[in-house]
This record gives sequence, structure tokens and C-alpha cells, in this order.
Amino acid sequence: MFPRLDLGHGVGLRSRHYGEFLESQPKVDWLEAISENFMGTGGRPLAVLDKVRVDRPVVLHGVSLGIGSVDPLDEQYLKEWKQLIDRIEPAMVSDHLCWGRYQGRYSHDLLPMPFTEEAIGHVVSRVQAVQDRLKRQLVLENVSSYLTYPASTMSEAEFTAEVARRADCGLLVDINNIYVSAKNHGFDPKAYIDAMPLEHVAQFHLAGHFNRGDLIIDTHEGHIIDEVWQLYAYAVERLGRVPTLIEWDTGVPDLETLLAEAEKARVLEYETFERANAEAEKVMLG
Amino acid sequence: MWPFSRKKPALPPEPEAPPAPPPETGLQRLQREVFERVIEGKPSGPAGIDDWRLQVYGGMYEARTHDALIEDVPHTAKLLGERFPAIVKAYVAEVPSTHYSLARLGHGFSAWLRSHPVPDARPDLPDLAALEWARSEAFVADDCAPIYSEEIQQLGPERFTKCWMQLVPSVRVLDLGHRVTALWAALEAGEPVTPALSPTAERELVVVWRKGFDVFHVAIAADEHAALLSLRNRDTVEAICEHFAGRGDDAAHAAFQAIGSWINEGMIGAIREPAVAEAGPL
Repeated sequence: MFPRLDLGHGVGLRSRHYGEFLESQPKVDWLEAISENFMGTGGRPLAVLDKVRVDRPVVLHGVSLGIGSVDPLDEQYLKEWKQLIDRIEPAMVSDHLCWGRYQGRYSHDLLPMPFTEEAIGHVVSRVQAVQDRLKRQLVLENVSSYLTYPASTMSEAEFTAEVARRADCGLLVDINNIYVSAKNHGFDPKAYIDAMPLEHVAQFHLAGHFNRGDLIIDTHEGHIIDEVWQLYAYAVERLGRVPTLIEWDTGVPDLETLLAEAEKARVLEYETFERANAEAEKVMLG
Repeated sequence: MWPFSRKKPALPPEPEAPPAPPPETGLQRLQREVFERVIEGKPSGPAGIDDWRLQVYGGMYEARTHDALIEDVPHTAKLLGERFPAIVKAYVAEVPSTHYSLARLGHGFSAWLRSHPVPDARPDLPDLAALEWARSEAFVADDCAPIYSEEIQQLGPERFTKCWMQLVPSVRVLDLGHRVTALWAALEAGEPVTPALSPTAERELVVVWRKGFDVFHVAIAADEHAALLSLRNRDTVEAICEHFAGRGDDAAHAAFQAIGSWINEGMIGAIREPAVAEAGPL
């Protein structure tokens, strides 16, 4: 199981907002920093991260671990990642349930896994190795995908849940990614959420995307659409309250717009919980 | 008696052939086939997957590497204009990313551009790219507190000349084949590239460094360039000063003026006396 943290609603720490975070204290519960942007570096980016860490919790979120890659884990990556983790002491350390590195070369993409027993075994052993190395639990995020493999023998939700159970890691449930993949592959997004093991759910992500007609692309651009907000409310109802992050990485808006989106998530979470409580009370009172 | 034995010396046993690699697992084969199609652009991918779906990932790889390289060498990209995307594609095909950070993608771009001249393009572009990359590296180089001139004053001149110094990690010493600092300044200011900024095939020696959060660069004379390389090789201050001998009576003044400017600009991270230096790296 993964212990539930009460962090609230956060946003990504992006270079456009460095000045504001250095010069003032914008009101936000927590910040997510992309691990690779701060690993093995110094200068202004790391100074900003050090500063914001003093004021509020920080979550380190990676994009290049490649937990599902058949390549050996990148030793330099692990070393520099651990140094950053020791320095920042993040509330959570996460990456993606995907692969991206092959024979020492990086695709810099979140390539989807085939949903097979072989892949589960491979990922689980690597998650355990990483957790032993970091001496803490890892949190893995479901990715958006634009293809499926004929070799898959189970659904993505079954695969994801099984990895979390066997590896005893946390799950970062990206609501937008579920929506995107559900539309691209024709599965029920609510059934996906229902299949998530409650005791492993560590965090939610929300983001915008681009609908090009034949395919939805996870661009992290623009406002979150209504259907994704509704799915978020469903996830809160079914899986409970966990730290929630607004991702906006393309055409990053001003901080005010970003924080307004985080506030919207907070209000929706509150209303969903109030409604669920009222309904539970009604049932109890007969 | 035969002067030499005809008996052949015993030959070492033939080394055994390395064991054959284990057969690919299903997961290995799948990742190889996807990688070859999406990243290397081979004509076909794994069976049973619509190729247009694989091409979605291929297109994203092109876009991502293109955007990353623009961040590394923005002015070079601007001067290459519409040719830049194709150049990036050719570059990453030959110099694939082997670092986890996409921000490192530009590390070999200048050298690659030098060995792959773009037809009808300015010949100074590889040098401009080298300057831009050095600035990108300096921006995120490891932090290191610089030393202050008071530390040298405490040592006194005699002890100081026997010391060696260490540059802070952000310092880059460049030897460029064209004069590009004026071109860089014009592009940075958003000014047009006038005929006065036409490529000049004259060597330009440049030092790049970060002071606080800001990156600077400046063209330097040949003796200062040689002195910085000497410093980087851990020569003593005395040996570093000898590089200014060509200035005649002004040599000592020039040497200490250069060292003073390095210290004032925060380029020196440590100063060590010989006894400490022999103990090993910092």
C-alpha cells in the first residue's frame, strides 16, 4: 500500500514562473518539479527549486527512468536522481509506467508497454530494484497511448493494478491520460478508474489535450475539458482524496490562470466529497 | 646438436568462442522493432500495429528533438531557417541522444555541423553553435562558490605564485574559427544581420562563464586564452603568468590584471598551495 498524503492541489514548477517563485510566495499547496531538469545541474533552476522547497512540499516527477525498458537501468541517472532526492527531500517521487530507452539511446517519449505477464514481471523486478536503491516507494503514472499491441493479454487497468500490487508501489492516476487512451482505444474510462487498487493510489493528474479528430494527443495544453473534470469527480468519489496536480506544459499560461485551474480542482473535489457524504448520510438514515 | 630447438613452443589454448547471446524475449523483440521504426525510421514496425499509429510517435520524436535543439542553439537555428528541421533530423540520426536529459541533445551539434557543411549556409554557423552550446552548458553547470581576492592577499605574492587555481564548473574556453561574438550580440538584440556581420574567417578566442545566475562571454587575447588553458591544466600561477611574456615590460601587469579579472568575475573556484595540491583532487 502507499500512504495517503494530504498535500492538496499543486501545479508544475515551470521556468516561465521562476521569477514569481523567487520574488514572492504564490499561494499554491505544493509544486511538482520535473526531475531531469534539476539532476546534475546548478545555476538558476536548482536555486529556484531549493527556494520553493523551503516554502512548500515538492514532488519530483520524472520522464526518463524507463521503468519498462529492456535496457539495464541507467546508473548515471539513478546516481544523479538519488542526489537530487536527498537534497530536495520530496514528498513523493514518481515516473511513468512505460519504456523509452533502447540500447543506450533515449526516445524521450513515454512509449506504452504491452500488457503481458512477461512485462509485469520485468517492470515489477525493476521497480523493486529502484525502491531498494532509493529506500522509498516509487509512484508510477499511467501514460496516454496512441497504439496497442496485439501481444497484450489483459487490459491496461489490469496491468497497471497488478504492477502496483506486486511491486508495492504507488499509482499516479492521470485522469486526462485515461480519458485520452479511452477515446483512442475505445474502452470505458470509468471502468479503468474502478479497477485501480485504492490502497495504492497516491496522486491524480489533470491536464488539457488536443483532439485532432482521429486521435486525441496528450499535449498538456489548454484548459481541462468538462469531460475530464467529470471523470476527476468520479475518481475522487471512487478512490478518495489524494494530492492533485494541474499539468500545463505547452503554451504555459500566466501563473494566475494556472492557479485558477488548481482552485477549480479543489472546489470540485470539495463538492464531490460533500455530495458523497450527504448521500451516505441519507442511506444511513434510511 | 641443432643450434635451435625445432620443437614448437606450446601455444596457449584457443580462446573459446563467446557464448551465443540468449534469444530475444518477446518484450525485447517488441521494443527493438518499435524503436527501429519510431526512432530510427526503418520502413516497417512490429506486425499487427497500424503504421500510422507508430508514425504518431515518430512525428513526436522529430518535434521534440527539433524543439530541444532550438533551445540549445536558437540563433543558429534562426539563421538556418527552413533548413533547420531537416538538419536536426540528420543530426539526431547520426548523433542519437544517449543522455536522459533532452537538454543535452545539442552537445555534439557544433562538431557535427562542422563535418556536415550546409550548402550555401554561412561558414561560421558551427562556431556560432559552439558559442551558444557553451552558454547553454554554463547556464546549468554545477554551482561552486568563487574565491575572493582577500584570500590571495592573505597568501602574499610569493606563496601565491606557487599555487594553482581551479576554474568554477561553468567556465568554457573556446577556440573558434570565425569571429562570431558580434554576430551573436546582434542576433541576441534582435537586430538584422547586416553585411558588416558577414562571416570573418579569423580565429576568435572566447571565454564563457556564469556569474550568479547570468551567463557571460567575452573575446580574449591569445595569451589570456593560453593562460586559461594552462590554469585548467593545473599549472602554477607562476607558469600561468609566463604566457604573458610576449608583452615585454608589461607582462607582469597584464598577467595580474587577467587573474584579477577572473577572480572578480567569479571564475576561480579554489586556490591551492602545492602541499595541498599533491594530496589529490579537491
